Amino acid sequence: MNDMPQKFSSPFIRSPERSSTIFAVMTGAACLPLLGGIFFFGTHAIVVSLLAVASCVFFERMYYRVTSLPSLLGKGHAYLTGVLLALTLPAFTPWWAVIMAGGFAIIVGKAAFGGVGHYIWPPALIGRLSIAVLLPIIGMSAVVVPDDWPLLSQSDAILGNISNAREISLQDYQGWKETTAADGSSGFLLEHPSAALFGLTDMADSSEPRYSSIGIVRSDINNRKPALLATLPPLRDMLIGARPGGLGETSTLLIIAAGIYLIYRHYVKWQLSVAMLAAAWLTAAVAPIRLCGPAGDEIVWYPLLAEGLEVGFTYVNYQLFSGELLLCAFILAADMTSRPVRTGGQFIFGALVGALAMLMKLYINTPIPAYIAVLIMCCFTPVIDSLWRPRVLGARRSML
Amino acid sequence: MPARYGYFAGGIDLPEEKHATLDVPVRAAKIPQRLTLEFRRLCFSQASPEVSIGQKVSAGQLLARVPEGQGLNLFSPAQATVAEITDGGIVLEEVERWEHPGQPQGHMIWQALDMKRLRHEVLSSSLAIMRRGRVETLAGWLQRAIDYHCGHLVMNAMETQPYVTSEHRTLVEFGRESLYGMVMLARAGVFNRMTLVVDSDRTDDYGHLLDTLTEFNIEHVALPRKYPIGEDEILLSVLRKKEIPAGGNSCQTGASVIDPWTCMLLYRLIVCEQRLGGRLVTLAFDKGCESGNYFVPFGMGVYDLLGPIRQPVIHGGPMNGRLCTPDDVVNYGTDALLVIEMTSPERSTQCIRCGWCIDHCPARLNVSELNNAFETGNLARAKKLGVISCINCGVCSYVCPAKLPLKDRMGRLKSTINDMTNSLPLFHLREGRR
Repeated sequence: MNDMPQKFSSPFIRSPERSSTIFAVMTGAACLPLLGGIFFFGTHAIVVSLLAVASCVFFERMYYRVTSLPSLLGKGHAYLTGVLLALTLPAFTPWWAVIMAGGFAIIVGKAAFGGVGHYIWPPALIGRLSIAVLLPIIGMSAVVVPDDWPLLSQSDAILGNISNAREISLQDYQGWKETTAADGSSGFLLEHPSAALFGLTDMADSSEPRYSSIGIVRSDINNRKPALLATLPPLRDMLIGARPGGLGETSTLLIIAAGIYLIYRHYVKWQLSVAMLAAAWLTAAVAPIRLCGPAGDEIVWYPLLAEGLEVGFTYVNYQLFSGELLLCAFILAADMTSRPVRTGGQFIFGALVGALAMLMKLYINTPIPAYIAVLIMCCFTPVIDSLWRPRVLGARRSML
Repeated sequence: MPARYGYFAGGIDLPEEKHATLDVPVRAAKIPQRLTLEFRRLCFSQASPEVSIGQKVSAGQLLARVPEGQGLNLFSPAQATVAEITDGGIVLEEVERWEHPGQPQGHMIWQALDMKRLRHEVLSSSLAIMRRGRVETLAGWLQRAIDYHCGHLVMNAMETQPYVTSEHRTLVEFGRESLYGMVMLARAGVFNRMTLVVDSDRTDDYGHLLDTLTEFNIEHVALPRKYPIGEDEILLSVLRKKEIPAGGNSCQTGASVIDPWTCMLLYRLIVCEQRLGGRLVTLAFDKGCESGNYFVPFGMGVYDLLGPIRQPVIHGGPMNGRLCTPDDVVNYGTDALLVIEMTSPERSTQCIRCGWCIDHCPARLNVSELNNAFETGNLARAKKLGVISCINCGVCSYVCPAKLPLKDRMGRLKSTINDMTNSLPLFHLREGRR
């Protein structure tokens, strides 16, 4: 009777969920697309992942040791940040760039704002942005956005070495499963699908017939098969992840599986993910793009209206699956600290991020449009939170 | 078929944990060693003793009198001897008899009583509304309902908190008397509509009440058990689609809420002339003792009732109860005493903005932002965000993964703002100008 703990106060029963549980589960779910990355990009992917996690944990510990601040929730969140950072990085990122990204993520992205619960932008995206911005400044732009991206062949998956990958023309590339790597190489060097799609509007490439125009060459293709299918990896490869990209960006099915699990655990709201994907899909479907014809002439092309559903849907799906949009929709944009807190606010946030990401993908030549869209929209989180405020129980509407 | 009503946004589905007491018949508590009857808790004001030390008193005998309109007179819950009289209360010892309420012995055809007579009986009954967190005099409750011209009387038998089953057992064993008491209250006031609200999972247990319901035109509403639908603010918003204004009372929505036990006591007092000085208390134990619903006299010590127990005891439900102190006694608001395995308090960490507190808050408060207002001491912000509408249900603390004591913080914000608004007019004006 006398040893009753003074700290006890109602409610005397509590939900078993803890912040550390949330971070652990999110880390586990984020590992799912990472496994896809390791499968398609081999040992380099493993090294990049381990380095990203280790650097985040190291910088987290060092920061709090140096500043003598209490690192509440720091360790678990550092692991999560490391894994999320690894998801966004290409497998060929040099080791020092990974460590630099980890440092930026923890020090600039998180600790400088006061840690978990206080930062404005997702730390992992700050780390990724630091590479995208700083490496071109020091003249290493090819490290972050190369012309050709490596992909392991089927026979060399998981343990292959992407540095042995050799270039292969898209005419010879019949899909990941059907194509075998050349002797002495363990994979292919392919153009990033996003770059290929952006190339449709690139007037400088008009000399290449394969990008001539979806609209103009359609009559030359049997059964109205869209020209995109001839110039890009098969949609099936895009779904399983056999395409160039960041470690966790490629495996669409694994990203969706991880996202559904997080939604099931209530760590991510489906409204945010669905709004983001729907907005991106609609934007891609209605936004006109400039195409260059075989003679270098320019036409404005409306994906769904001009070519009908078959070509239009294929084009829109490629836009959706070819970048990092899905990863943002299910995992990165749903970061609890930086997104709006209310469901309605998250819906608006998701829709704006999706539309902005797709517009940037279509009209601005940037390697990470969805990440930048998330970072931009996170600046408006307090505004969205203050705008979306339902009436409090028993209060008059004029009170708010 | 009972009518089914809507739902409300927020809330949580709590584990039920009622199996140990749900179907166990009501028993009388053991004879207490002493009864500590505090004026503050049982009379609501200072009272003048009408007995002397050493005097033997019988059950229902007047012990202390309160000036009219200032509280409740104190009556002896049992046959005992007055052992002590202080400024704070009266202590009875050598308690000789304490029994189960038993079957009602009606002496009066209460249906023949007119409104005037019934109203007089209720206003002079010296009974209290016995609902946790809403204890007040029945006379005051009725007078307010009359003043506001409340036309809707709601008997709330929703028990959404785990373990607690006292109102369920009241309806099962004393249901008919409770409903008669409700009808008497309706006639005493200006109520022209009566509603019995029960848990949709328990409707089969109240089948025997159906005749009474139809006889007196009482509506029967079954609501899904989703915490905190049993709180007045939420219940009335679901039932009447009207919300109690922040800081207001249920009468402002045109409805008054009553509990089954008070109605049963009123029936016994007026019809059977029997003043029961106790209430039904759910005793729930995780192990060792016998769980059940017990009829316990007011003033009985909690540890006298439970015996030698080393674990902490929760007074009330697990969601918004409190820990018992060693000298705690059973009073009007004691609907449950729980000796259960509690979630041990953990070190709270910073808010990670998961938004679960906001998603589940039945008052639609932005708890996360209110927590920021608490941490920065920004009372004006807290007031603007509507913390006064907090119904103290504890859902935010229950779901918080950072284990922040959000319920306590909201309560402290609310009480501080109320205190400042009452004592500092400028604070009120400043908010009004914004």
